[in-house]
Amino acid sequence: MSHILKLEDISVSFGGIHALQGVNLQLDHGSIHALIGPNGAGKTTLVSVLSGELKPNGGTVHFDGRSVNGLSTHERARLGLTRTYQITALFQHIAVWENILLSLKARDTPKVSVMQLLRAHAERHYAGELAEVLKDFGLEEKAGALPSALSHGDRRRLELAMAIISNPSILLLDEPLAGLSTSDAAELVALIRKRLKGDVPILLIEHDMDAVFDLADEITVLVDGRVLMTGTPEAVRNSAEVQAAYLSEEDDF
Amino acid sequence: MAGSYRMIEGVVVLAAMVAAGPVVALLSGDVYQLAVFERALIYAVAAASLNMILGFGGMVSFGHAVYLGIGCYATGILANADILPIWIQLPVVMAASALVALFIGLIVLRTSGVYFIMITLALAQIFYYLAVSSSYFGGDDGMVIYERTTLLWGYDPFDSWHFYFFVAGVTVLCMLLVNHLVRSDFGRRLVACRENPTRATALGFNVFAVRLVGFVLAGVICGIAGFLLANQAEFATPGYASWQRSGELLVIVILGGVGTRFGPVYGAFAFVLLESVLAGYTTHWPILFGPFLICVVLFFHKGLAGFVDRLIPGRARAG
Repeated sequence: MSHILKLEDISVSFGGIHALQGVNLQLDHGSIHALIGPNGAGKTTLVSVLSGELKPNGGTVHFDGRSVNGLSTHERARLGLTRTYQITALFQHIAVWENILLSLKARDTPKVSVMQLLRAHAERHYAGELAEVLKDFGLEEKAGALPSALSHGDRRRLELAMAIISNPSILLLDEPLAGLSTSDAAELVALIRKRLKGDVPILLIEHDMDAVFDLADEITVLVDGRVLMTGTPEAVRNSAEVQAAYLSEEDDF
Repeated sequence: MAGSYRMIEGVVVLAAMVAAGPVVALLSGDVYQLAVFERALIYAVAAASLNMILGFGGMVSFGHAVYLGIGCYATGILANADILPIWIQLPVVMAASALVALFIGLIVLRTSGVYFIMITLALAQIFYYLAVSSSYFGGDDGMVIYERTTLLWGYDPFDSWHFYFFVAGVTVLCMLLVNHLVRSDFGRRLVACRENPTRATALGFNVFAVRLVGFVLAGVICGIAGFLLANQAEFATPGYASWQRSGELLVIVILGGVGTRFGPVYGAFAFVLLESVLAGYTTHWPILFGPFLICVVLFFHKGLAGFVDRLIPGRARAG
């Protein structure tokens, strides 16, 4: 079994608060690994460490067999370490189609070049792919709208579209289904499955337990910045430890 | 449809901008009126370059006039050394402005918000005081420039009409350049970095590099405005790089409409023309100009450019 992503002994503290303590985690090719845990367990902190937005106080992030600790966020993004945001992060005052076009261009030519100064922005070259993405994500009719005018579900779809079309080698999804109705969530999950070809692994943070147990191959439970357990959905579901940790924090598990 | 409309609008605005001076000069029979319009054109170039980083890049530079000063002094020093051809002067001016913009950019782009404003101001003041204390280049008194830039056979830099059309020609080229840049692939990346730097980074854009390139390009274009100013005023003074001058450029951009295509042109003409008219009545003309600026900002979305947009029937107010 090959690990594309490996976290070794990651620790993060903010002042006196230990957000993450000695976290180990492995992500295999082709797997969907869910990260669950009560609020404040450090899930989003972990994603930020992976994407490079947060420097850990200790530990190493290995990607494809090498340490990426020294790489900045945009350098990691160029390697294909792609994330989405819990609170959708879109270009608010730019039309939907242009949000997608920027993502396509970031994928193909992330670096600043002289050509970009000479070339006009809206190129025919991307017209076909752009139309296809808009269609797949059900945003055709909203292509000209600004993200601020979209419904919550459409924003989620756009957020996801921008991540998936960037040709990720790992996809980090931070609560992609938050605030969606069950049918919208199911649709979005189908979309992720359809668009992601091959064996791109996903690290999924999600509160919707039905979705987690339905999708994940492996689940890591994070409580108070520590890994409580890692195992198959079955093992996690049956663990008395997890039940106890969760039930003391959340009633709806 | 929208494309052809944009083109017609562009041609009309640029033609009106170039024609205004000659029309007034011919009607009044006073060829020296051209000088006022030359100043408006030069300010339009400087403001357009500031608008590029302010309106499209979200970078509020309070030290943009420093490039006006750099361009002016570089031109003056060359001219007084009897190096007059434009194909030597202009590249030197552009290189000098680029170097200074690179130096300032590398420092200020590590900051944001109010710190960005304050540090652009502080760094620009360094160059201001350098100019003030450089007795070799006239120090506080400034430096008289004895020769204007030469161009081609048949071009007389001291003929009012020849010179006016030289300034107007360079201005049109600079406006076209800025308009191209903001619509280019790069320009949209600049906007993306303003809109959501976090997302831009997550997509793989190096936000720092994108902003730095925009910052340096804006510095170079403002340097060209300084080159024109040196020729127009036949004088280089530290005042051109002062923080008051930087403030004027900000006022012009805001008056014209931040992030609009021709806002800097409207703003520069309104500013220079009002200044020359009002200053004829009172030396305290800013007392009248201030309320005018406030009214424009309060009542017109996107400044004078927003006002012009409203005048055109059936035109949605575009950003």
